[in-house]
Amino acid sequence: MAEVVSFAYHPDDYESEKASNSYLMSLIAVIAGLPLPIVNLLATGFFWLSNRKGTFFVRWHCMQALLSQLLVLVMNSAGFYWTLSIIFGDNTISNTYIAYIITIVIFNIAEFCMTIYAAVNTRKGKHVYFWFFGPLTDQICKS
Amino acid sequence: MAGKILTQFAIIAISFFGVWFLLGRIEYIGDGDVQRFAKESERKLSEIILETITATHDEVDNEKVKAVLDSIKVRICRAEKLDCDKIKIHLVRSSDINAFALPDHQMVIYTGLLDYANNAEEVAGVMAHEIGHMEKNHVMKKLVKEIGIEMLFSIAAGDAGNDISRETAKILSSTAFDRKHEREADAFAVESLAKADIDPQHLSNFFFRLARKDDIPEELAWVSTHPDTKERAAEIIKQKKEYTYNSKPIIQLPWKDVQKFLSAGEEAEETLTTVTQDADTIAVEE
Repeated sequence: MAEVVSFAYHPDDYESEKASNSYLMSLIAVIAGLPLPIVNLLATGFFWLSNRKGTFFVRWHCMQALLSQLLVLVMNSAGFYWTLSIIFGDNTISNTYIAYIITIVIFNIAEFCMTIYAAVNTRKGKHVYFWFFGPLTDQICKS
Repeated sequence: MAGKILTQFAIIAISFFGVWFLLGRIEYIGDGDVQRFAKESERKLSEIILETITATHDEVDNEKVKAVLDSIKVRICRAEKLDCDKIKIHLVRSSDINAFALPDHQMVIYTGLLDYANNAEEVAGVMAHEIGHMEKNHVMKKLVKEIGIEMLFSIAAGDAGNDISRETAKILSSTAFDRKHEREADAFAVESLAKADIDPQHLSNFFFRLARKDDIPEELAWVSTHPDTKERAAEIIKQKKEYTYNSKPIIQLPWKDVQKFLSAGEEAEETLTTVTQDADTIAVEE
């Protein structure tokens, strides 16, 4: 799901710290923003905006962190509104609903682990390449 | 590169829906809990709730009126190929315009509803709606959701206090099912009425008459437990167009006569009560 690959150049310590912070930002925002699924995306988005004129390594990792948040945002938003419709609306708790919540918890944990792995390794100056989000970031983020 | 991205996205999507599908096969709650609530417990629960209702309202034992209600029940059950014997009707004396389903296929109808109805077909519409709740198992689902399975077990076992039983009866008689369940019961009512050659228009008319009252008096309990009455009446008219039926009357008697049986029974009961009271007084004096 996430692997360390070679990068065009070796980033310096300042770049590694900035790139690592983009992943940490989403982790902190997840904890602070629960149960609202939008908060972590907003935090990562603002961090990307403030670093969009940074070096290629920083920009690339900010973009990968942002894209990886988008997928869980979609999943979590659906779960969030489904829960609201149960609390305030006519929907009832069903097996399908519980299965969905367990599924998004599994995907969130997987994403959480990948984010920690990426934060630790980019801090060491390594280039962490996520499955699906890595190639997508390559397409969006041109040097 | 674009192909690789799409392939990897497809794999993520397939694994997400695959995990969701597989986890969805597991029984967590809901129907499983409802089924767990064994038939015997459901019967006991129904008895306890009924006792709570009849403690404050008299059960009417008027054979003529009961025969009318039975003929409506049989007509609907035969049309839907349901077991007529498993559905029990309890006619309770109250001015409230109300009818509701209890667990174990028991139905409570207040005399107020029969007084308010214009004909047997309107009563049939309300009964078909309540049978819909029974057949779709809405009653137990509602109780499990609102009270919880463990509490229901303790009520059925007689371990819960009278207050809890009263509260359970109140939930069934004066709170609405959720909108989805109400619409399912309406759809069932339209289908069964059409199959029984009873015009579903009567149920719609009943809804419209109730909805027309701007200021809903307290006795109109069936309206407060059945929201969006106007919209649902319109929906019934829409749904009835899907069926073909040859409308036939349920009873030959004018509905006013049935209402007279009810009031005659009430007077007879009052006379009986007075006579019993007089007898008691004489016995005390002696």
